[in-house]
Order: sequence, then C-alpha cells, then structure tokens
Amino acid sequence: MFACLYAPGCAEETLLALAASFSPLVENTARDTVIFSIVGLGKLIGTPQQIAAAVARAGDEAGVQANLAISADPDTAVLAARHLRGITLIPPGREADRLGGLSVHALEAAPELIETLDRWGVRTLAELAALPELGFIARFGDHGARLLRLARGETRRSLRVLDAAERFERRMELEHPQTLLEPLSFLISSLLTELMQGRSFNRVTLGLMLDNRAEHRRTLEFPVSVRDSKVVLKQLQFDLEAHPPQAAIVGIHVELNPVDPRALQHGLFIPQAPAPEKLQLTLTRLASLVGADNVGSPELLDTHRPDAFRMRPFSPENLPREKSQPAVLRFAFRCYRPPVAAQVRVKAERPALVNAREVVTAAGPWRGSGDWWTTTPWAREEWDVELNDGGLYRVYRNLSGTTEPVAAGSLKFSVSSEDRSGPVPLNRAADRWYLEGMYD
Amino acid sequence: MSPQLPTGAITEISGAISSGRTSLTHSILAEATDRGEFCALVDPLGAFDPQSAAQAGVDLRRLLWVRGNARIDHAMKAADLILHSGGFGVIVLDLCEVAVRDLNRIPLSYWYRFRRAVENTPAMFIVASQHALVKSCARVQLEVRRERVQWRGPLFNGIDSQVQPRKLYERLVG
Repeated sequence: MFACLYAPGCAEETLLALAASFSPLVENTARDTVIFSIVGLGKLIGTPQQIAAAVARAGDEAGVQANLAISADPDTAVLAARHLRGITLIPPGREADRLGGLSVHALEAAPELIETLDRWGVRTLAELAALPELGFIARFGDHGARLLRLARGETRRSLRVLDAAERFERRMELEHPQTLLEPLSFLISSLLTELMQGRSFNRVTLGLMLDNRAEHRRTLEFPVSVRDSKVVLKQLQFDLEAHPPQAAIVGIHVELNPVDPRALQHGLFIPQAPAPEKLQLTLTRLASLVGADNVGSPELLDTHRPDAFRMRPFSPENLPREKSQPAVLRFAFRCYRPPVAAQVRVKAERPALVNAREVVTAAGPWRGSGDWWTTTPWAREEWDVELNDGGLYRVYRNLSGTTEPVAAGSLKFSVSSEDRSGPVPLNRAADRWYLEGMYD
Repeated sequence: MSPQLPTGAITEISGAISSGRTSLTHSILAEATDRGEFCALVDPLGAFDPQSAAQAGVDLRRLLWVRGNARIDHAMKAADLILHSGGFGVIVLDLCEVAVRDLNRIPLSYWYRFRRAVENTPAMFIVASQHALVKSCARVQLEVRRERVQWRGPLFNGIDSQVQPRKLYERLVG
C-alpha cells in the first residue's frame, strides 16, 4: 500500500520530511507530490484509516495543507490525491469505482488523445474504462494502454525511491597546530586517496580549521572530471601557496563532488590535444606564475570599441571544429597595453612628427565613437603613420574628453599651437595623442 | 601562406619592426588551428591583438594566450611549462620588442632545454624576435624583411614582406 500527499504551495523539503517521518521509501514525484510506502506501518500504527489519521495529524503539526490518498498502486494514489479533496482511502480492487467519476482531463495524456476522447463523447474515467481494450490500444499504442489500465485501476508499479545523496567528505583533527604547508599536504593526500578510490570528481572543497576558530575554505572547480588524487593534490598545493591560511591549522575537511567519468573516443587522424589533467595542472602553474587573469583564450566582444576582448578559461574539451573564415587582412597588429602617450606635431591637420620622428606617410583620419549611452563613452580620431625609423604605427587622438591610463615612462603629449591650423579645442583632454600599437 | 616548418624543432623568426614577423606568426597559428590543433602563445609584453589574429584566420578558442607582466623570466618559465605539458601543435614565444638588455639576460641553457623538450614531439616551437637569439638550437631561422608598404590612396593596405631563410637544416616547402 502507498500513500500520496499532494500539497500545492508547500515547500518541497517540508513535504519530503513529512513523508520521510513515516517511511524510508519515498518517491519525489513532483514538487508538490510525494508518495511513500505504508507497508509495515500496520504493526506500528494500525489500519489504513488510522495511518491516514496519523499522517493528517503530523501534517497539521508541520503546517502542511495537503490531500492524502492511500491505494495499492502509486499512480492511482497520485490521481486520487490530486483530484479528490481531503483523505481518500481506496481498498484494493475498488480503484475503478473511486476514480470512475473523474474527468479524462485528470489524466496526464497528450492533448490530441484527450481531444479524440472528447469527440467520442468519453468524459469520465469510467467511460474510458468501458472502451474495448484491443481497439483502444490499436489506435493509441502503449500510451493508450497505460491510460486504460490506470482508468481501470489495474496499474501496478514500484516506487522510484529517492536515495539519500552520498557525501564524499572526510575530516581530520590535528593533535598539534600545523603552520607549514608541506607536512599538511601529506595529510590532505591521505584524505584524498581515501575519498577518491578511482571515482571521478569535478570539484574539491578544502576547509582548514584555524587556531583562531576561523575556517580557511578553498574550492577548486575542474572543467573535466578527474580521478587522479595527485592532480587534485598538486592543484590544492598551488592554491594554498597563492592563498595561505592566516593562522595555524588545527583541522582539515575535504569534500568532493562526484560526477560521471569522462568517456573519450580517440582517433588516429584526430589532431593531438593536451591531456585534460596535465593541462589543468599546467594552467594552474601558469596562473600562479603570471596571474589568473593573464592565462586563457581571448574572446572578441560584440562591440566597435577598440581592443575589446575578454579572457575566458582555456578548455579544449568538446570543442567542435569550425570551418575557418577566409583571412580578410594580411597584416597583423601589435598592441601597446596601456597605450603609450605620444608627442605629436600637427601640420595642415595631419601628423607631421610623432615622438620627434618624422612621419613619412599618414593615412587618416578615421573617426569612431561609441558607448555614448554608458558611463564609459569613447571617441577617437585614428591615423596610420609610417615613421622614418621604418615603423608603421597607429596613433589616435582621444576626443571623448577622458584621460586614459598610459604606459609608465612614456612621453607626455603636447601640441604646438602655432602648428594647429584649426581652432583650439576648449577641452584640453581632447588634445591627447596616444600610440595604440604597431603594424607588423 | 606560411612555409611548412619542421615539427619537433625550434624555428626562429626574426626581423625589424613592422617587417611582418607577427603576420607570419599569425599565419602559422591560423593554419595550425585550421588543422584542429591547439596552439599556445607566450606573450611577455601582452602585445597580441586578438582582432587582427581572428581576421588572419586564427581560431581563438584553440589558442592559449599567456600574457606576461613584462618579466622575461616568467615568459621563459611559462614556455617551458607549456612545452612539457604536451598536446599543443604550435607554441609561439613572442619576444619581439623586448628590450635587448632583457634578451641578453636569457640564459643560453633555456634554448637547449627547449630543444630537448620539443624534439621527438609533433609540436613546432617558434621564437619570434627582433634579432636572432636561439642560434645553434634553432633548426630553422627565418628572417622577415619588409619590401614595401602598400598604400592605396589614403588607405593603409598592408605590408609586402619577404621571408629569407638564414639557416636551413632541411628544405622547406611553401
């Protein structure tokens, strides 16, 4: 026998806790519906009526307003709980009688099937149950057969029991406060080896209980599942070196998040790719060397703002091959980040000298602006210049009125007013010139 | 079209400023990513321009870009880590525009270490710089020279460059 609780508007956890207080065999059917087995409660509580009364009392105490149905079949119990108010007890063999009055719309059936039943004049489950079985199954297949069995109260299935999530965590209390990371890694290694045992994980959380009663908590996420404890240990060591605890350690807590193992099909003609575990370790080492923001794959942003990109984590897993676009430009650009402040002398509205070097050829001006609707608008006037030292540079004048950060030690800009043929702008910030980079 | 460079060896690309060194490097990266390979670029000055690389055909998703903080020792260590990690088709160490005094401080042992790390692997290790640095450890040395700058009216249209092999241990194709 099974009991079903249907409580729309009730918290899922509360409903599950109520069901779990009566039986360990609980099925979480939906957010508002749980089914649990009441087999065995007869000796503890009594008859199904007494069990229903006990569940109702417990529900009242927990503040749960729900419909309760008890039946020999879980699906019948769900149907009754969802569409019959209060407590419904369905003795075995009486399912068709109790459900017969319900509308066929109560069934979770395809809209086309319900529409067909409407056209046939079949309104209730009792009328559906009276239809000839073979003809109905011939028209609607397995789905129709299941609905017909439900209407006749002939379904029997077992519960899809909700297993308690297994937690992969270990704790260790240290006899003496530990201040060095190296001996600590031996202890973490033993905990990891004990926990992993060939399983795959994609997240590890290390909690260090400190002498000052604080907890130093670090979580590492892996883009692919790992099953090698040495890889995880090395990553944790790098992370702890970068983010050391602020006091002596008196306890260790390690928690892992299990995932399915990674399945890969290698091919003879597929280009080589970095091994994920080794790559992850390399990326961590690189991040500790040059900083996490400086390692990754560049991703262009959908904007006209110059030099707009962001770094995203480098992850070669599941990267589909795309047909490359034909090359548009055949010359590369090298950026100065931040741009170098330039000293530009203007003649006849064209750059004539850049940082005391003569401009051989200049192309421009190319004016651009954007993001005027934001707090960081940009506006600039670009020139491509070839200097007499052989370099091809892109210089630009900032027209947005804002001052940009420049590379340390770069020259400060000034424009001789006698060389300016146009009117002097009122905004001095608009006079600033910068070297953005070099064509190479 | 870039020349077909040897795998398992160091190739050095050198040239003056605006000679087309970076364009050649982008071209090599574009061909490698088009083959489905993963590439790495160690860039101590952070001068890489993703926009022009993408326009040259580089699949940026297949490129690991390691930006340095102008520390050459960090760049050399990063290149070493990537070489030993394995799995990359092309690894580029971009030393263009690095100050000569910094380049002169690079221990020679690094080049021998890189040569040992890359040999017998299917990877190309490319060093781009203004002057030849790798010397005997490079199997191929290419010098890029600018022939002329193309101006079409008021528009900068590109650079015509010539790639001259300075040292060849085998015949290059392309």
